[in-house]
Amino acid sequence: MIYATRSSWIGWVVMMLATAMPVLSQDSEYTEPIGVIAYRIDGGTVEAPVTTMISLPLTDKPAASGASSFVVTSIDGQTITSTGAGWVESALAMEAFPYDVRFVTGDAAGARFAIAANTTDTLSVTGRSLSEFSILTGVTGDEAELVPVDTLEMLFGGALFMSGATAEEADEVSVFFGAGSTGSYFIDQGTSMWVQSASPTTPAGDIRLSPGGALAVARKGAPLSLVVAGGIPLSQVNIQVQNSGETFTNTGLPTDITLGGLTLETRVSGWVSSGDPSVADLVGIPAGAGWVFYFHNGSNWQRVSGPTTNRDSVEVEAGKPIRILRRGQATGTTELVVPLP
Amino acid sequence: MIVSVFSRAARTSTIGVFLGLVLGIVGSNAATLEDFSAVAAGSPHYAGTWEISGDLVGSTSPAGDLSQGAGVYEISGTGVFNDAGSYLEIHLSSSADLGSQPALEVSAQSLAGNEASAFEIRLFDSAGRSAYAVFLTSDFPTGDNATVTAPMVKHHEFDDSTVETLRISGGQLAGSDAFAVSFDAIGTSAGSFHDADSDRDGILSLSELLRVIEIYNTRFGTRRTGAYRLASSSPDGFEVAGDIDEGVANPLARYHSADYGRDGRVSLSELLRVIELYNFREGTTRVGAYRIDPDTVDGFRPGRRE
Repeated sequence: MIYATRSSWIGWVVMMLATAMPVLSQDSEYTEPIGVIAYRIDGGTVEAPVTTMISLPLTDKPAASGASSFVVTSIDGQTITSTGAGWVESALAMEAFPYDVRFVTGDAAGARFAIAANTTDTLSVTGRSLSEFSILTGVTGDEAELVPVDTLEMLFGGALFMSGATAEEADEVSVFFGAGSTGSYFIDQGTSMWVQSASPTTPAGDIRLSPGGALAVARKGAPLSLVVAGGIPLSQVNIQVQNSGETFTNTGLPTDITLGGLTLETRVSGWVSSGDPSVADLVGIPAGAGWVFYFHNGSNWQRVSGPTTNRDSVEVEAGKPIRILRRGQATGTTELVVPLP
Repeated sequence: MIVSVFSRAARTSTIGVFLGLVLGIVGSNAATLEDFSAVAAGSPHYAGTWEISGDLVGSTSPAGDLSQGAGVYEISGTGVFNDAGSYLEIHLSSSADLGSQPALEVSAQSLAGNEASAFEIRLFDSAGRSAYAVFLTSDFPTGDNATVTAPMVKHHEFDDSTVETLRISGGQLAGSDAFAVSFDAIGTSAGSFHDADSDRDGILSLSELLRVIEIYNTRFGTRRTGAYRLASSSPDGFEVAGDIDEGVANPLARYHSADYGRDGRVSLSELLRVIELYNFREGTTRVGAYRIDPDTVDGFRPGRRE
């Protein structure tokens, strides 16, 4: 089957689904579903940088040795074991070539965990707690896959962006994941390397660009068109949403979805709907470097300012992030599960 | 992931729009969206440092120093900054139809204490899609209102006929510069003129083309660089920069319309684009007329203005 949907903002997204069902074992081969997203990075100047917010939900195919897809044979704390996986020790936890593990089946389907260390058959993960989920183990345990994570250097190396002697003169990329920004970065003109804007002598080429996060590109040159191709999720997407405060994330899928279709108000347990936007939980959709916030009033989505028009049809476009703001005070996180379209 | 890059300097099949910071004579057919005579009547919404409590999401209460003047609205004060999260939104009493106007026109002046180098005017349609234009505060000196036009960058599905909301902000992701600008009016415009069109008649003449060729021919020693700089005393506002060598960055506060790559130099492809505009014909007669088009690489296209 071939699905072709036109992203309302950033061009065509083509999803090609495999005709054969995937068999998840290290000896099988299958055609991975891929997608393509075209991004437009608006142009600006040094005096007036223009920011474009994007997200990167597509992923690379793992190049590491050993099983790219595997069955979970046991769990111990934050360690996943897959007997016979055949990984190279520490190869999945290199800063320059990081990996996540993403569950494909079971209660944790769609959830991602960063790999902090690995042996030939174990993965030590961070980020979310494995204990959040009821993970089946053993010969018929839940299935998971390795997902390469891009870094600044891997995805945006070379002369793609303007370099500069200072952050003010160069294009800047700000990375957002979870509760906030992990920093801003630019390419130093002298070394041609990504460095921290706040500390220009600190290399930043290994900064992770999590597919579950957001990027803000402050462009000071001519507009750019980027075309990114990569794998799409084989299963639902499971996103971690803060119970209090902000979460920068994206829907996880390279397709447009409306606020009415995303149904945060039912998919996020404890979501506060209210006719008062100062009380309700909010979702923001990017507009340049800023955001437009919406809340669910109990019946439909509404903009926080202006007329009370039903905004259920407002789209979260493929390749765009969202910013969730929750009013509560509870600690911890709640999952947002977005099914495949 | 596979990444392919298409610089907008080479036109791609994806629809892109050109951000031009163009200083020009006010275009005709301007329609006022907001005259700032009574901002409170427009159901204003303030957010960030422009809101009384600095609230991220905002409210109808402005920060203390934002004030209504006689036909103007002043956005300034201690702790009022140019970050994109700080803004004023005005909701139009009824949807506006921009009539496909390609540009915005702003009448404003900078106020004492302003540190922000630019601000953004963004319009939202009923589907939440937006169009925006960026203005340099240096084009709005203190002391008297100036009127500046800039082409809009529109979402390719932006509906010109259902404009509901106007947002003013400093527009910077992590802006921390003091913002102090007094707004007199914001409206739409048919756009301004190509910098090569020094007599602002919507037509490129031979002498105007030769001026662009002169800039293109700028040399550093024996090397052609095409470098130029701003020059207020020059008839077209620019002068050749023969002291800038190849490979040396030449960032400018404003770029010549021909320099769509915005690198402070006129390249061969950029010159050829100007020649394309110059060569516009009506029948067999070369006319050289051009018009605003935000969907082209340089923001213009051959043809007479409506």
